[in-house]
Amino acid sequence: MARRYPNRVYMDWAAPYETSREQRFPFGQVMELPNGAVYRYTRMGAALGVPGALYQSELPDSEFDTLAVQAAVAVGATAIPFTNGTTALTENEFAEGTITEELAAELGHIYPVKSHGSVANGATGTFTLADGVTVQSALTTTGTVTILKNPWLDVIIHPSVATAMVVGVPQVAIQIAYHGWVQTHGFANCLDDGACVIGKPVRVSETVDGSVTPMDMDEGSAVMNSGMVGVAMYGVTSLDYVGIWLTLE
Amino acid sequence: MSSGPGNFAEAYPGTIEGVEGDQFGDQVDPTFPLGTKMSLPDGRFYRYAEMGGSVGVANKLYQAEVALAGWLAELVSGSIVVGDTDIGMENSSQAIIIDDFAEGYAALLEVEQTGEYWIGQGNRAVASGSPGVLVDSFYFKPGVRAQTAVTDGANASLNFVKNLFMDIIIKPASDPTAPILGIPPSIIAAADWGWVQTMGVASCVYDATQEAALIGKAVAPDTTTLGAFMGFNADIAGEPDNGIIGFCLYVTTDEDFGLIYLQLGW
Repeated sequence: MARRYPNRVYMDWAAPYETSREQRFPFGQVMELPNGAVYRYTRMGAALGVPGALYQSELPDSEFDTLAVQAAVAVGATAIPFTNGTTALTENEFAEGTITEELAAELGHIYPVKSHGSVANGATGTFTLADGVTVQSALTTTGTVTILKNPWLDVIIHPSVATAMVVGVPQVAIQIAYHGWVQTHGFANCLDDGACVIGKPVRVSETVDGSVTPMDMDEGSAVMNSGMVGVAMYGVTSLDYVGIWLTLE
Repeated sequence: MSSGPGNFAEAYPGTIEGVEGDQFGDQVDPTFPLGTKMSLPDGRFYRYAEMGGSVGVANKLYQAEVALAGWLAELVSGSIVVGDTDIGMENSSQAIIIDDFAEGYAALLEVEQTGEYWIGQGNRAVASGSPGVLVDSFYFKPGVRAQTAVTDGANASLNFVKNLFMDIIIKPASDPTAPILGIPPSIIAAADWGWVQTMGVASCVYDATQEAALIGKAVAPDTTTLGAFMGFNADIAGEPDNGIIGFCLYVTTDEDFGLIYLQLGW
């Protein structure tokens, strides 16, 4: 996206229902409605979007973790070369994503990615950093980096159990590979698989895809560790939709 | 449509940038749309609220009005057509007055539907009946249209919910009975309007007889004292389910006012 967007765009009531085949905003663009509800711009993954379901990021490929820096990089540089793992990259697959220095000695800086070419299995890839961003601490060939797609790119309905960061709830059915908004804050109607209690926290369900369930602090950590996603606005007992106040951000 | 919180013709920014002092006072008539967010220079946030039927008390925890059972799981009144800009309301046991749901919500219930929900611009009055019914009575916000068709009948129900910040009440002398909204820094007369703090350093009455609050540790809604906070203790069964409302900055004596850093997600 060549244009510079404001950090937060303020739009009117119909905006959450708008979808498009072409990308119109940077991924993850923050949008706020007049009542303070917040949304993020997203691209739907490989399945038709389900309105009212909780969505997560695409599962990060482990092949993009701990990639060897291919050549020394000086402070001030605007690109970082690395040796790819066994999963090929398509051109700009990680644009608007991030590249992170891993080693403690390299201070763990994280940089937004502007662009890159296609990178074959095991080949050298070079990520160009976003305009205005330069390398903060030098990298050596003993260093490693992790690359990550933008969390709002190619989102999927959260499986039970969620396998990546929860990113929001779409209000309309976003077609495969189409663009639209997912809600992250404010009143939302969401699939529910438990008897939510008014005023009590809700978390990601571990039994029904895309659903929330009451958060009981006395449950085991295996389910509690998924964290809180909102607060129930009223109680429901059936496995339908429940109004929650999303607090993802 | 009568005047009310849903009838602001101007477009307000999502968050108003206030200055120190703006957070105090109350207004007989609303100055901003219900739920308007305001930030102060030091990062404190507030929401514009309408007080319920009792005079508001400053520096105590307030919660939403409890969602009325008579407005939940009400059958759709008249089929909904794609492109509709309003829907009917059916009301089995709880009367609805004009604009009860202005800035509020109507949400489809059943999993057989699409989970669509709409924000209310306003609504007409519907007397409670067996059931009370009125078509074309809940109006969507401008530009909002029904995305999917819903056939009047089985598995086609709606939940009607007021805006969280309408008719707020003090947290009772028990567990909260609805979402905790924040802390008003001023006395707000019954049915008047004013600001409720949701983020940042805030003063709040403290109950020292329940879980002790510790500086730097999480705090939670108290479970026995009106409008109070207490320490958060994850080891106590049931209590932590009320959630964390912030962190303790200063501990005081029982029923005096302590300092907390509010972190409510509104």
